[in-house]
Amino acid sequence: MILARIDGVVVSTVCHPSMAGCRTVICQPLDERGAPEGAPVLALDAHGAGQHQRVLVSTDGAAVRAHVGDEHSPLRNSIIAILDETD
Amino acid sequence: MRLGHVIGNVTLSQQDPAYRGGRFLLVQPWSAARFATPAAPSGSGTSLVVYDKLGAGVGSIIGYTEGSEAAKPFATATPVDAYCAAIIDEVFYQPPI
Amino acid sequence: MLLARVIGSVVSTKKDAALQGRKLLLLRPLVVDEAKPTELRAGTGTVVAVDTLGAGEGETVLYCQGSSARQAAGMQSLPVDAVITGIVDAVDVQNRSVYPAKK
Repeated sequence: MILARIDGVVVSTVCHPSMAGCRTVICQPLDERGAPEGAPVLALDAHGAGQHQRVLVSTDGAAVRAHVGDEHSPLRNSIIAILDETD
Repeated sequence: MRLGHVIGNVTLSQQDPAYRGGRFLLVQPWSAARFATPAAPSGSGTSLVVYDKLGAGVGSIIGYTEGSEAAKPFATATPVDAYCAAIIDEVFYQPPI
Repeated sequence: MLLARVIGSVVSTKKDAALQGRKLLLLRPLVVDEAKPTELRAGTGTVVAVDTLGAGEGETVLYCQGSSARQAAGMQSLPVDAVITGIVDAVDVQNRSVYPAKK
């Protein structure tokens, strides 16, 4: 699991059937201080994470395949938690 | 999944029999710099070959999966470690200022 | 998958029984530079991959890595993580041929 910040969304009409209708967000991985680390990745968002919210991204495909109900889904990253804001 | 830019095509003269029907795209992954400035080069030395069935072409932006998940969409064993899962229409990217 | 040039071969007598009779080739990955997209250049690292297609030294090939590599024909029970799955005929970048190299 990685810590990430939602930095946007992507829209796709031609995609693998298991992705159709799912929200796909751009996640910026963060280091322990909350600073960006590496290139952003895409993840399936089933929890309605808001822009710039901090989230946990699971990179285990089994979780997504179970969520979309398709054993043949190529998806891998998914939002599994939205972190509580700690100002 | 990662975002990448389709920059070319690869044609094979001999291939694993399971590859029949697929196409191979040469893809440049989007680096952090490429997200920030659309004009920035996507990075160098990172291009990879992605299996495609959706019909992406040179200039397309795609979302591709790597690793064992890339082989999941196939009914029979197919040696694919990078799979084009989506052709991206629009990218809305806005990091906090 | 990555493009690579076959730069040599590896010979081993004492090896895992499943590898008996398998050809092992030495590969150097090939990448495209966005700054200079007219040619393929050598990437970093050297990889040993199993070959089932009959690739030869100097040829450009496509190879698959990780657990996906074992999805290749006849590789399911082999302890390998890199397999040559295609011999490259042509590569074009931005609709211009970069392989085979123009004479």
